[in-house]
Amino acid sequence: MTAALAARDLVVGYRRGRRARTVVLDGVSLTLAPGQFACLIGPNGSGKSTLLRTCSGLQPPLHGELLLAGKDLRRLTRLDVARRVAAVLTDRHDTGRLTGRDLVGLGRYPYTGWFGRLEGDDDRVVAGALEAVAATHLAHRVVAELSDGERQRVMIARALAQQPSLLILDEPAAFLDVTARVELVALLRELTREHGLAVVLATHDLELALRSADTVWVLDAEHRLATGLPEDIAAGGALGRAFPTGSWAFDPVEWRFVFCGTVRGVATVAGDSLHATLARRILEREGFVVNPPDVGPGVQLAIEVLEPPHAAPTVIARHAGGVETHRALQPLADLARRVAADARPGETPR
Amino acid sequence: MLTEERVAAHPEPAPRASVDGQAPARGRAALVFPLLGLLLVVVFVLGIAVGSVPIPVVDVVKVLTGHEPHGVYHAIVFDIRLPRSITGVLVGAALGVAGLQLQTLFRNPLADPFVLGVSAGASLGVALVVLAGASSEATFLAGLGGLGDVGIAGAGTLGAAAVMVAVLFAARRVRSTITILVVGLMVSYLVASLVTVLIASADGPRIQQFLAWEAGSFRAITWSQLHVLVPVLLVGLLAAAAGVKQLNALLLGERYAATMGVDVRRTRFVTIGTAALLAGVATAFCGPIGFLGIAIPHLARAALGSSDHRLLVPASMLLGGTVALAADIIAQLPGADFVLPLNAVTALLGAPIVIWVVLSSRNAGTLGA
Repeated sequence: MTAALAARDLVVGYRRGRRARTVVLDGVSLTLAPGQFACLIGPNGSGKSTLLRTCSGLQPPLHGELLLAGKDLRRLTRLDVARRVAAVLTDRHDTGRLTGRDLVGLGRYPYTGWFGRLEGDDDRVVAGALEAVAATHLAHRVVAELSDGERQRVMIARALAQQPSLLILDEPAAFLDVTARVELVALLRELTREHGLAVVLATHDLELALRSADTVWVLDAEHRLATGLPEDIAAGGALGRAFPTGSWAFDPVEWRFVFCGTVRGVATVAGDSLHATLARRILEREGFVVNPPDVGPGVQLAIEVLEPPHAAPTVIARHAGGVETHRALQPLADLARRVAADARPGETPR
Repeated sequence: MLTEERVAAHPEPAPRASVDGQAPARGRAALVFPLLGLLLVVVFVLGIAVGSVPIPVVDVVKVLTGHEPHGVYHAIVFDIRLPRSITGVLVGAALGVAGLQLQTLFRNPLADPFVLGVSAGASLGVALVVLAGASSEATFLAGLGGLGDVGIAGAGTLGAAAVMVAVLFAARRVRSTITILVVGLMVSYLVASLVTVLIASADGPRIQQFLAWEAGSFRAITWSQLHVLVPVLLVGLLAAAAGVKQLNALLLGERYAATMGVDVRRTRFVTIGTAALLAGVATAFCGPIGFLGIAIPHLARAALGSSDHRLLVPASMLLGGTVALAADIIAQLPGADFVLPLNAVTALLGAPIVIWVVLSSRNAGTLGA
């Protein structure tokens, strides 16, 4: 099957004047097959947007080969490129009185004639694109009055109306709330599975990217690119290189950032009920090593959580000052902060 | 890929929805356009009727339809009033469309044809002929001044063209459209200051002649000038009509337009060139007529309830012509001896519209540039 996107030894960057050029990424090699969902992650300034602009044909590569659905980008006209790649950006502009249908119709630009009139097939494609993103009911609404999530759906439908083989989204979730963000990713996955579209999503949401992508592209601050299965990426060191932090590290098992800074003490938490897990999170946040393999005598806090089926949980905390019993997590958090403040910071690495 | 099979999977495009989708916009357009056309015809006839010698509307129609080839009014209608009205229609249409183009291109609801500086360029050209011609009568410019109105229009065109070339040069070089806006505004200020210097150093009668040009008027136009003005403005209007597809794509911003296959730089260049041509020539012949360029596009959007340039461009032409003629009629209302400056009337009509636009801009979507 022809890859929707294939790059070989691509050099990405900007031309400044006749000779001068600023190289952002060097030696990029990538492929993305139809029906694949790729997430591009990396810190700000790592070159995500530049890479995506190049893949969308908005910015010519400085060197190397870029194939869109099997054709060399350099041999394609602007309109040919627009028929192969469509993009959804963070840009938000006042779209005036355009309705959802008008806006999606603009996606027919590479296909329509001189005046941009929609004819026969165009109407069917527009209706199909709206249906693919479950936005048929937004066709007659004025886009400027839609919510951010609805608006983003219509923008994706507009991209689909270009009938591309590759859809590129650059931080489309920037304005969206959590629910809309998760729904957006679900929609994108559906588009890859149902319609065989190849999708690249640039996002800052690391966990969502790892959980939903078929393949993850990680760029680090040194402009190195690592690609692979999310699980392989999580197990390898790419995420650590891309997101280096002093006191937090990405946990390859839990797929979240965990505290690994100065250790304030050692604690134990008994049980694995919901509230026991939450208590553990609180202690970790305050700098405690929780349930280390060999619990010595140096335990500052011992927590036991009783979670009876139809009653509020009970938190029993034993520490040097005595035993406390609480029916909520907040007092535990306060206690953990007090104990951590009294403890002498140790140098034990986690 | 969204292939044909995919489209075929949804063969019924929900007949009710598609009919509803077309009905409101197209139904309204089908109502608005005949109305605008009718309005233009009415104002056109009225515009020929009013003047220092009022002509009954019945006689205007008779003369225009050729039923009274040798009547008393024939000469007035054909030699004076008709050129005036034709000028008004075309100049109004030109300024309206140029304003629409620039409001969309600059994504700014307060943009008008003057932001490019071409009108200021025309002013400088005219000022050089009218005001500075005094000092050295043997010069080329003085010669132009001696040619009367033709010389003024020629000098204005030259001035506008000079600024247009400069702005287009900038448009080719810079990356951001906003930069062009700033360059145009600065050129306007620069040129306006030169005009001020010229005014300060000129004598009374010449200043008066310059101010008369600056007040704006469709009256000084003769048939021989129309031979130049009409083809140039028609070419400009046609070029504007040919750019509707690109303007529609620009509603989403330049970056989105580029992803849909628009050649953004070329579109920018052609749009600015067209708008500068329309505004520059209109100003050179009729003076800097304010407010039409900014107000007409908003009227068109409000009348059609649409942001689609396939509707807005023709509507701006019709509305621009109508409003320009209406303003000219109002300017002549005081009576035979005194005619209001056209600019004062257009400002009187246009300023409230601009205020309305600014006040309603808080509601999302009403700006619709």
